[in-house]
Amino acid sequence: MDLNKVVAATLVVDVQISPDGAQVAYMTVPASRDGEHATSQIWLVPATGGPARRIVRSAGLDAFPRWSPDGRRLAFISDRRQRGIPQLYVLDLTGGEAQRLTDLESGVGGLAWSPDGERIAFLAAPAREEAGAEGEAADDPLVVDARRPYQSLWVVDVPADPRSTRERPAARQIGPQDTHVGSIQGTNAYGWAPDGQSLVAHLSPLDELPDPALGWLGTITLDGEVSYWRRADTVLGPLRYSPDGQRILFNAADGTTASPYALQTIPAAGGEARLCAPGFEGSFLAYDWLPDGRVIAGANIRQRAEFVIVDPESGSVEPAFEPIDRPATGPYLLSLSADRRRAAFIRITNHSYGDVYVAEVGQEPRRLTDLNPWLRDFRLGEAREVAWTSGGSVEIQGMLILPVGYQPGTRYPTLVQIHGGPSETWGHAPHASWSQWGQMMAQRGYAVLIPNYRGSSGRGSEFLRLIVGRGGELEYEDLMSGVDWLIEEGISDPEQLVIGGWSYGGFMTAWTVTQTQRFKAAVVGAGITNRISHRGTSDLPSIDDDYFGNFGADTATRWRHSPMRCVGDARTPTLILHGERDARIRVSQAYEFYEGLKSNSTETQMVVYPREGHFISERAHQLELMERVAGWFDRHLGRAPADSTPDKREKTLVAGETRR
Amino acid sequence: MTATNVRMLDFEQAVQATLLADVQISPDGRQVAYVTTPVSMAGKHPVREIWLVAAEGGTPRQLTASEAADSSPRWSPDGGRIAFVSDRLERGKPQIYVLDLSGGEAVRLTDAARGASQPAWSPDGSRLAFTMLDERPDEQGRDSDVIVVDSHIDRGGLWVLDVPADVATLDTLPEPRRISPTGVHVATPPSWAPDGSGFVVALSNSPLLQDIVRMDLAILSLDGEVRRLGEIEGLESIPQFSPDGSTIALSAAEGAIPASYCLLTIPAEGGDFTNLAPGYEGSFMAFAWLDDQRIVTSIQQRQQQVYQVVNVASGALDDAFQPFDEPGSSPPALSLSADGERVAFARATDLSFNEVYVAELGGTARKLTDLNPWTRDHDFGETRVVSWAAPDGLDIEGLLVLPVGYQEGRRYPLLVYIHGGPTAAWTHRLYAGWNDLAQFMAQRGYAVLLPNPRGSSGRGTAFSCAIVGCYGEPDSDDIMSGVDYLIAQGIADPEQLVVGGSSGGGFLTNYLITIHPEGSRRFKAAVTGAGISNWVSMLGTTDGRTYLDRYLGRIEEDPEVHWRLSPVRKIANATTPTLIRYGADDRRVPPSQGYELYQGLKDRGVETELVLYPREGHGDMSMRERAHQLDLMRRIVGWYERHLGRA
Repeated sequence: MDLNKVVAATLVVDVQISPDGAQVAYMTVPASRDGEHATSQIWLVPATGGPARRIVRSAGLDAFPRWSPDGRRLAFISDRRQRGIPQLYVLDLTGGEAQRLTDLESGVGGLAWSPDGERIAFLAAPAREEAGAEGEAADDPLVVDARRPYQSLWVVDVPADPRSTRERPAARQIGPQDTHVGSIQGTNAYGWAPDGQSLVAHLSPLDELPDPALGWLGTITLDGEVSYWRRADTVLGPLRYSPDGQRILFNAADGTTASPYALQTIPAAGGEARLCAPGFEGSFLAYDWLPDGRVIAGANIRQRAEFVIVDPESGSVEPAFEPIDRPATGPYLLSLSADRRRAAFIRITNHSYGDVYVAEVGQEPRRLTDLNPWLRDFRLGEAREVAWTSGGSVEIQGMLILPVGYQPGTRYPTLVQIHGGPSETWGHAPHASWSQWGQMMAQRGYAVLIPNYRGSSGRGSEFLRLIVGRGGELEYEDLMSGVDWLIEEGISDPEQLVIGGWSYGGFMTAWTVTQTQRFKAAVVGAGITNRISHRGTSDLPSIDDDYFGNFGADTATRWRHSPMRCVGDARTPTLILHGERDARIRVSQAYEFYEGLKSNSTETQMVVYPREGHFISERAHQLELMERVAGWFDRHLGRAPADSTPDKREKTLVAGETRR
Repeated sequence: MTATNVRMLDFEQAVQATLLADVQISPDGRQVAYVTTPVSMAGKHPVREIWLVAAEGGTPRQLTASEAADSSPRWSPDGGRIAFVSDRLERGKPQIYVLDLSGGEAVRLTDAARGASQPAWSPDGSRLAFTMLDERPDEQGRDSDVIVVDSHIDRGGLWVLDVPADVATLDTLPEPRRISPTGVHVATPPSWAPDGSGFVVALSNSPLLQDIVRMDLAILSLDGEVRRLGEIEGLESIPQFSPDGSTIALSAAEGAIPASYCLLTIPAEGGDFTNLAPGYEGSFMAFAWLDDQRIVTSIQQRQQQVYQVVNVASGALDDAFQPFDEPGSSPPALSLSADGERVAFARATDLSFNEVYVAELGGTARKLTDLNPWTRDHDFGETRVVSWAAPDGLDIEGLLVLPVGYQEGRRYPLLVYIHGGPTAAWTHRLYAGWNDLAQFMAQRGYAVLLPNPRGSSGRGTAFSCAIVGCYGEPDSDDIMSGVDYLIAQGIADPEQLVVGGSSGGGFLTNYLITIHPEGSRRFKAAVTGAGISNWVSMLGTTDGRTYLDRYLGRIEEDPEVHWRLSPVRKIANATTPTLIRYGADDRRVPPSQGYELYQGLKDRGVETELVLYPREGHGDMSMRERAHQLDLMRRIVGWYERHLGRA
């Protein structure tokens, strides 16, 4: 597999069907960023099939297309005017180029048309109260939290035809001061009321709550009047009024915040929220109302994505479409036509990074795109769903990627790759990216086990909550029992085990190498290594509290579950990778483990990726990372020369190999 | 006197105080060169000036005038020239210069890519040795910008260049010669053998604190040969040959740090180290050979600095000078005339910053400068040595700065201000700067206790090592018993107690307001600067891991010790409103330590503020920018005053 192709793969990250259902707008991004700023493209494809057309054409970011209710216009954001600072544009599909509607210093995101098409709501930094010399000097010295950045809710009136006026409408902030709107970054947790006079939103008062994962549901009128309803934490995705305006559908934590992905409704006048599907053994992501008051939703169910119809009255769940032969993942994009009878969505499979599909509810889906045909040119390892028993009686599932050219009866070196989250599930997907090493290692002759350990999504709220207060212990049991099962099955060579993962997978790797010496090499990517210092330095401390409670009330449990407490037991050669500007899990977590291993005389290497946050986005960095990871595993299993350093020389070598 | 007519020192004046560094007496003992610098930088780079003053007294004159940083003046053996370091050509990148005192401007002798420093004349005056950092490997041709941690180690080498008899004739720079081998870091300034054949140096892997805790003492010959003499730990003052070249003396830790600094000798031919005054209850700092048998040295003893002559053969100590009129303290440096009769040094007292002094052996010291005459226009609190019994009966000492206009029988608000180190001590000097606010608070009606708890220097090895394995436990008790003592004495108001400190003092402040059962409920406000809140994360993120390992052991051996002594462990106890400050570029105690404490206090609903100062690092001299010093002083004083309801 050519890693240069992997880092340039085309990913679809947004899908929007037109109100009349005739066309689908979708947004693509390359898997990595090739320049200083992110780029993306907007395409239109007929719902009946045919070639896609790229309808807006800047060299920068053209993103998040949103159809006007009459289907005549597309709103989107673009940084064509100033790279890195996207503004709101409207494209009239009757002809001509897009017109810019906003001019905000910090850019805009999170668009939503009002139901009457008169205005657009969006999320942006608040209007600055004071500017000028005093504001500048106030940051030197920096008083932490004195000026907390946050996003507020704004609206802008859309001229009947922006092409015929030179005046730009004035955008106005309607969200309250010092209150973050829309849950964590990248989540547009708000929605228009059917009358277009107010919006329901997730609101996080900065003085009251430590971070925007926590907040309140409430309404904001066009005049900026706010009323708060009830607390709702870990809100993921938009807030959707039912067609009759009586209820609001949203996706949030089921009771405790450690169990997100619970679809629920709340009366539009405020009141108690109700789960749509109590006891559902899966995790909801995308969702919308059907005309009859039922809900269509994409959900992770174990290793697969399923689109289902949920009846919020009875709690019943049934398939939304005719089945397709090949299993898929990626249930986080779903868009309905105005009559709510046709849906656009994506499916990710073992042979697709994600393609666009449409289907009438109850009918068979049709694929509209083929975004990465090159993937079919490579021989991939067979990906199987597997299951084993852990802790005596718990069935744990996961994916097993067999080495390319697998011969039953032969034992293979085995990588255990641990997914992040922990509230994620890894299933059918290409497993070929900077953070998913499955096929890269399968082509090098490894079997790769990807356990969906306790705490993973896809198996309901209870399963997510099992690890509360115990983070690390049960997951360790699950992955080690998986390894034992693979050895029993005759697939894995017990003398050639390696382990690695990113984020929570990095934490689990660090934890594992302090608990056992069975692994010959490990890769800790952006992992928590000390839960105490992590809690004091992360930008989202509430995530940690989900699992370990209020920090001040219990430091001992966090300490007990910190890899640093047991660093003296670590003997496994460990490669430590971290983004320099990671705000979620600070690079200081990596330094702690690195210095601890050095002090312990355990072989280690630490690499910091400049400019990168919690995820690695630059093309050269993604490539370097994959080659370094593969080289680390190979070298420590004696499959590559021990003196081949992971620097320049090796890069040439690996690049040459992959090109063959 | 009431608070209303106290002649207060304003902060704007304080940030312009003149500091003294590097006092150097001429070989004939008739003149003294010294360096002055303002306590804060008005611009981006520090300004330093070299001055000369006659040893008999008189008006000093400014010798260099580059308006850049001129420093490290070194007299040529014949006294006719001064070598020094200046960044006049490119700010922040110093080069070596020579100034001929017979007239004319200074001549630059080096063009070091990363700067040159620490000039030292050869005994015959024909050469200068100096140190400079090795150039970084070529960054070109790297196909990736990822940072592989520890893949490049910065090291400094020792170099020598020939100095022409008349530097004014120079038209091309002399070619310097590298003396030290590559792959080692020369951690000390060049210290010549009397016959000019080489140097005594300390060698380490890198300049990082974690690599200079323990170093090799070695003789480096001019042809680059290295002869290792033995390992030294906690080097305090640079090694020096005796005049006959037979013996090397140095001051270093008496065993593993934090042992007290002692005076060691070792034969230059190799052999064993001899501790000249084993078990001495004081810290040996600077020294100089008077002749082959005697060494003059300055020793920190409890709250002051004393000067002694040590007999190398017997180890006997005698006073070097007549007693001073008032107690004082000195930075760790002294300078001796060629005949060994006259000593120049810097010295501060309760009412003055450092000034230049000279003294003949057996004579009375004379003050030669008056660098901050304006200090006399202000009222300062009286400073007393106080002592009290710790809970286990050990006597603990400290300084007590009384409020200006103190009236016996009245109780005052009490600030307990804790020093860093921890191997350091509060000694007699004028406390009126951003990091030692005692007099500012005394002018505002506070008594200020400056305690020297267990772990402090100046009382011998048993005292400084009493915190090993338990840093925070005995010393916090020492401090709290000092507070109780001042309450019992009727001086401190038990309802108006506040606490603070920087670095090690920041850690003890954090410890007091969390782990210490009394401290966590009795203080009304705290200010903690660059302090440790979590020893586990500290060890992985500081540049000084192996240094800190001497206190609590290595992290993999028993992390429970580190955890037990970490203030965040007991954040649930915290009740004290706490101002937290860090230099944003602090590598010793990184700001993440402050975030940990800050988040914890917020979780507990305890009032707190975290302030980061951009471009500033760690330590007493780290808060360099004038605006930052001003902001910090106002913020600290305001925090205390507000939480005692006084503002």
